[in-house]
Amino acid sequence: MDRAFSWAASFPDEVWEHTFSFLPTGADRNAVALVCRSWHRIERLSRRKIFVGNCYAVAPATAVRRFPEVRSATIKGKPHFADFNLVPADWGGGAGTWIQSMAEGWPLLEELRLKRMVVSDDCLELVARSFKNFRVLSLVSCEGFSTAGLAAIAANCSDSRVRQGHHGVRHEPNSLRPRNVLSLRLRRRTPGDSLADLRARPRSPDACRPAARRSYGGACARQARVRPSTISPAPRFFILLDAFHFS
Amino acid sequence: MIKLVSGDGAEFEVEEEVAFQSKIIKDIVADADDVIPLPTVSSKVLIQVIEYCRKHAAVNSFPLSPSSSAAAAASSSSSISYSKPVSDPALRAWDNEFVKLNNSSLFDIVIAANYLDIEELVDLVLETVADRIKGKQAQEIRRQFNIENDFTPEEEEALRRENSWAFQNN
Repeated sequence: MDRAFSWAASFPDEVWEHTFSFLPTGADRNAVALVCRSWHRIERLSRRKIFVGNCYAVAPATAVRRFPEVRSATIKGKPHFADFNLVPADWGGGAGTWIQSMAEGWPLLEELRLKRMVVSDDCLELVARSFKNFRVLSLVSCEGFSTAGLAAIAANCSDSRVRQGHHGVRHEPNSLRPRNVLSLRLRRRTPGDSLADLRARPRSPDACRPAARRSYGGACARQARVRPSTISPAPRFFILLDAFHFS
Repeated sequence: MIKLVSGDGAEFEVEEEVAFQSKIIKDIVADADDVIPLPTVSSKVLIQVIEYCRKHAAVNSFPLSPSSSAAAAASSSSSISYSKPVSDPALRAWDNEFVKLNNSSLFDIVIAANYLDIEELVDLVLETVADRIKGKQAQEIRRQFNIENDFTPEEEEALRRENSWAFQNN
């Protein structure tokens, strides 16, 4: 046992970091971070992906300081029942301070997923100019932005296309019933085009039903995907918009 | 044949393709009859590493090993297929047996594999170690690897609270 201890303690940081790379879940990484000081340090410096279930549970600057190498962040704002207009309009959930901190601390951020947050056009413009390797923006049930913000994002990804949309049925793991959402993909033929070129196209007959979510305060769901031209078949960049309120 | 000499002086003669599973050895060998001293590797560990290299050299150097050809034929109709460590179920099963060792032995092997630059073996062992961490609480992990908790109770509590509120995963 003593030998095992001496090995565990004398293991080079890189070896533990390599080991932790086989632990993708937040629960396992949190457990590892609690084991001892050196594991805490190795873990925090190697975590690439964070999930914050409530945007007010931790100060953005604290999160960015603790995990300086994050490439993918998911932040949730208002509680679930905000979808049913049960949360006061001034509840908060602004993405501004988060995006400000991310812009300062995570220049290599590639993926940002926000849910039920207030995202202004200024926020989107900051996203557009802050992250040089940025690839995925997902805004689910977010509000506060307009086409100007989306245009800033789209303009920053050169030679991009935004594709057409479809209606879709999505199953949420946390809800007992499937939730109907309307998804639209936006298409933009050249970088100079406006995002007004918006069309909806049903993907399957079953998915054509009007979105149930529309009855809740006019929320509508959209999905946009920006792709580079035919040079590369893999999407270099895409935006997902779902159930957002256009202002 | 290449002669490997462990830290405790034992000598092992192995075929080139077995020794060359180690990138370091492949890089430093100039002559076919080289003697390579490995002062940091004990003979016990070296025997295990050679066993691994011998198995992988055999599978990698032939299009298909007899045991895996049946499996490959069953899963694919393609006439030309070369086995790869990840895709070869027989080798995968062999690997899984190979790492059924206590933590201390695994650590010895990964230190040697790291030193010898045998990437696949490092990955195999560390993934096994990670599997022994998965799903456990910090206290269990400390016990498993005999690691001392050097947090103060206050620090640990603060960290635990931050984890549970801010970085939980669902």
